[in-house]
Amino acid sequence: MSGTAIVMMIVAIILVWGGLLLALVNIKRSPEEVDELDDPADDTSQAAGPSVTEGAVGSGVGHHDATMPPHGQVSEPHTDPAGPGPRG
Amino acid sequence: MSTDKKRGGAAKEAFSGRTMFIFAAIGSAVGLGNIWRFPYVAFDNGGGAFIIPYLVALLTAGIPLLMLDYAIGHRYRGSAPLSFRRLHPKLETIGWWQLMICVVIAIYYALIIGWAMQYTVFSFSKAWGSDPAAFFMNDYMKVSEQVTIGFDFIWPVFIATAIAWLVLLVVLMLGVQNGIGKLNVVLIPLLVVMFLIMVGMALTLPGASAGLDALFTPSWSALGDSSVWVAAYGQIFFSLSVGFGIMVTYASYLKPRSDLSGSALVVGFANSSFEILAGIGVFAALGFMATASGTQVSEVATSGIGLAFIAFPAIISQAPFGTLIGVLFFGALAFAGFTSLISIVEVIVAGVRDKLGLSRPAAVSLVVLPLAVISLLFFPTTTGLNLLDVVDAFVNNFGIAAAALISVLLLTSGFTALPTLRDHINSVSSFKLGRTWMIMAGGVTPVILGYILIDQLTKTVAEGYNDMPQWFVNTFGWGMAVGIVVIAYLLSRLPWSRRTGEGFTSPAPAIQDAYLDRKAIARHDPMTHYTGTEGRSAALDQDFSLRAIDRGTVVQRPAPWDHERTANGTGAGRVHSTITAGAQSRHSEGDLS
Repeated sequence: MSGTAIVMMIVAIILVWGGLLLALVNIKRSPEEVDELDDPADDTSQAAGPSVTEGAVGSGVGHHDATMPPHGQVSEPHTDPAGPGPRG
Repeated sequence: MSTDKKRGGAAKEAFSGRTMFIFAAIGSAVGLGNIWRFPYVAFDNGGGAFIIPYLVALLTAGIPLLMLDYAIGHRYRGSAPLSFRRLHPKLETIGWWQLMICVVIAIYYALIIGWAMQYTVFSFSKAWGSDPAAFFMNDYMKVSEQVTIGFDFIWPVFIATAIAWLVLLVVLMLGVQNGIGKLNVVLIPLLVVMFLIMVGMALTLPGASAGLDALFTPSWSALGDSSVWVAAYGQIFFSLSVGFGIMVTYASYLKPRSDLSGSALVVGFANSSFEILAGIGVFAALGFMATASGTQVSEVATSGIGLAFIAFPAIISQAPFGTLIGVLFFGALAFAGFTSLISIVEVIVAGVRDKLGLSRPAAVSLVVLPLAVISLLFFPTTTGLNLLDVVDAFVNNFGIAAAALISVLLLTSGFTALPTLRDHINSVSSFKLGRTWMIMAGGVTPVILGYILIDQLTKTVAEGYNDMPQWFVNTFGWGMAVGIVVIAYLLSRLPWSRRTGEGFTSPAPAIQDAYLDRKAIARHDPMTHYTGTEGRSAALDQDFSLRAIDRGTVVQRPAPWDHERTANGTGAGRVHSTITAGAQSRHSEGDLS
């Protein structure tokens, strides 16, 4: 096996398998978040909306002044085009 | 298994976690093409130098397209037809087109798995004798000299293929979590271990270094050849299971808060890692074969059925511990094929289930049994090999490529869905996407796919296909490729089940937080029917991640289930809320003020 072939094999392995390793490290660093709706029993219990414990979320009618968001992005009021009523 | 029994539709099932989804997605991506296509494509297109266009293709088209499929499935939480329908009603045909492609692939894919299963057994006795080519063509498949359709069954092949369908039926009946998920969690590590042992053994064979030399010696001049770049993009595209509904379907089974871009990176690189491993193993074995027969590696190098069922048996006959190599190789081929077949048929099951509002057992029976009958009727026959050849070539070159090209073009320029999908990915993922992803998915990919499609189209029209009779190619090649589009359109005109129809989202809605979507789904609130399109990309440049909501740095839209409270005056006029998420309370900006 020639030197060039050995080098290219090592380069291919490092790039592709190294990429996999980095991808695994990346995903390990963002642990899976548990959602209370992940449990099917919870699905049923949440269906009636008990998780909303305090008032209503600001509706599209009332715009809010957003605080400065992270990552240097500017939040904008996000209105619901359909309004708060039932859609269907 | 997470199951909401009150609702129809595929999205009601879910993988238990991200790991299971990643295994399933890898199981789908790692298939026959990784083992029998990549090594020869790399060898034939610059050897070691091929790694450069290959990696460029992976990063600029493969992974971006994978993320696009994930975003559609996860955002719209349905089978391919339902997800595209929810994205926009006019796109439903695309979903059915992708589903029909899966129908065509499934009916011949099971045959190859049947072969691999039988060759695993043949490895013990080396049943192919001294001439594996003659054995495969004459003794095993009894290939007819006439290119036609016949019903002269080869019963051992028929039984092996029927077993593959039976196992598939059982796995799909068990569901997303207990069937597909658990099987992949077992089979994928097993496949990797089997292949690692096989590669390790192949590397110890005399002449293995000659094979690796042939595979990895770079031909730098190949980098200036556009066909090499097209081959790299083609390999990445066909290998990753993108563009025909599989990843859309699997992503619909992910939980709302799942890291989409991070998962896509893992799946994309894992698929390529397996290809590199397969390349090393296959060419080490081919190097041994060339050395043993006193020829050049280039003379024995081949791909596809010729590599697996003719070249490898020859290697197994001559190599020390050949039986073990054979069992590992064909066993790995069967496992890789089977995990891919599961994903292909699941696309169809999910689509039928959504459309008709069926339970899983009913949908699986309705899909698998007819498919198995068609598969067993046409393929384990003396004429089946020619049919497989034509159908496989046309469904790949003019089915998958065309469907992917048109869907990407429509998502990009027709319905400007990319910003919404990008925002959705960013709302749940660790690896944030920006404009670069949109350029790759919406710009680079269609150009390359368009080039591949036109190139194949002009070649096939001008030269015909493999000296096959024109009527045969017209019927089972062109006819099939056009026919599935017509059938897809007709299927899109059929009414949906009432339960599924309640959840249509049309047109594409403003970005919604995955958590809020899930809540709306749980309450059976349709998230739909925005009368205007003004909200379609309202979330651009905003961080809608749960973290942002938690920090109170994003203004929330009202959750559909809050309407009653608002109407009752309990929260009217309030601009804040607290929503519990497990043990954690999440506050909107109103709580901070």
